[in-house]
Amino acid sequence: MKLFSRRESVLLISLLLVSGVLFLVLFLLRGEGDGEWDAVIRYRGDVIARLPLDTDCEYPFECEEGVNRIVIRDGAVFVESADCKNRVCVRHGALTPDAADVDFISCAPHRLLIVLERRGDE
Amino acid sequence: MRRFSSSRRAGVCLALVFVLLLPLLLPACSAAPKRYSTVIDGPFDTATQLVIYASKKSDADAFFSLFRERLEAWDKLADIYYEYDGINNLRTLNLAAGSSPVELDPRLLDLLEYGLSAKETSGGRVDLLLGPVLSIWHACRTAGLDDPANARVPTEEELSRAAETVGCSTLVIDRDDGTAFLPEPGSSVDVGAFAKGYATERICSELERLGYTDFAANAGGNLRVSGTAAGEKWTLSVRDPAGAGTVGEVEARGTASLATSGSYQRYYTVNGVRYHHVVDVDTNAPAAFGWASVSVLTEDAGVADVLSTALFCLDRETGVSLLSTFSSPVSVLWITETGEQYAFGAFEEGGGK
Repeated sequence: MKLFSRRESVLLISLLLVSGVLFLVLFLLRGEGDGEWDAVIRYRGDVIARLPLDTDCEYPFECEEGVNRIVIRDGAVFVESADCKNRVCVRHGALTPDAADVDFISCAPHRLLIVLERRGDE
Repeated sequence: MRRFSSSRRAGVCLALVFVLLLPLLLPACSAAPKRYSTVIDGPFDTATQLVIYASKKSDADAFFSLFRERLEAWDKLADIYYEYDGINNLRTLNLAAGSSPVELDPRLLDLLEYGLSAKETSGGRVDLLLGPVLSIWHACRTAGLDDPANARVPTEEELSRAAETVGCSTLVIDRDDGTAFLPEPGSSVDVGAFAKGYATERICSELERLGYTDFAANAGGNLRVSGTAAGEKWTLSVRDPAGAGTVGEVEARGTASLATSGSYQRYYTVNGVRYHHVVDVDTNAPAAFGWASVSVLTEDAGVADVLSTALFCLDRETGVSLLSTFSSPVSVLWITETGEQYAFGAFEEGGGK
């Protein structure tokens, strides 16, 4: 007693497999999009750079008001040094990704803002 | 060998086709809320970061633009340094002191009434009418930051003259006419101790009434959260006043606010001595209770703002007895200039609500 012929069964099983693989791929892609964070650098309100947090780098920010040395290290972003009046940006410390936190680095004298955003969420 | 009937086969095929189409349903499943964030630069002399968990980008954008519109409006209304075309604000009110009542936006009358009541809530430590004293310190601080070599401290004489004006000051609010009036010439209001927190609370509660939830606003270090971060509790952290990083944090879901008053944010230096911006109503000088920062966690962002200023201008014992007058739970983290911490409420337990 057979529901499908042998050829039909093979066809259906392979279709099921393709469907499963497709589902898995789409699901994983979605997960990846949720995990990646960027440090978004804004000057006078405009986004001037988007630096991936998973890549260590140094970003010397220069504007007519002055200089801030922005560093990404071990998945965190911080201002290492600056020539502004109050150094609030340096003393703020590092920003690390936390989906349940709302935190940013601000250098008011230089009109500079650093916020973390999840890639694809902007 | 017998095959199943064709109708049975068709049914099984249909079920299989449905299974095959499942992946196409995935985008619908991913309508799980996503994290959207933006920064509003400018209002209240600071930057405000907003985060919202929403299923649709259009919802997040609508939330952001409403928030921005409201915050910019409040900023103009509460401004004591600049006037704007077409609106009467607190500067208009201060300039008309001793001459005439000024017609004001109802929201501004609310803020002024809140300011008058803050004197009571703060145990007399926050005075809406301290304007004349605060403006002298503000002028010296601004000049001192621009030209540090010639920075100066206000003289006893100018401060006591200003304090005399403060002593005679009253504010008359007429709700029927929609006006406010400072009868004493030279008197002025200053809402710096609570305007940002009050405005944040008003905006957030309005947006909650409109159905928005699961959002957080960080207005230059003053936090207000609503709902959850996609099911998780929000993290509200206190920055280390002495160095980099955070020193304490609490987790909260639902409505919660955290405000900090600190001597480390706004100050200037004269002959090596630091003068910060939180002025004690008794001495007319920067509060000197040894606090580097005082952080207050409670539901209402306006109350948190008033209380953090009040507690910064009180010793801890008096502060704790002031807290006992509040019906809603209040938690506090005091940090001294030498780095000692004193916790009260949720900070003590290290937990949250």
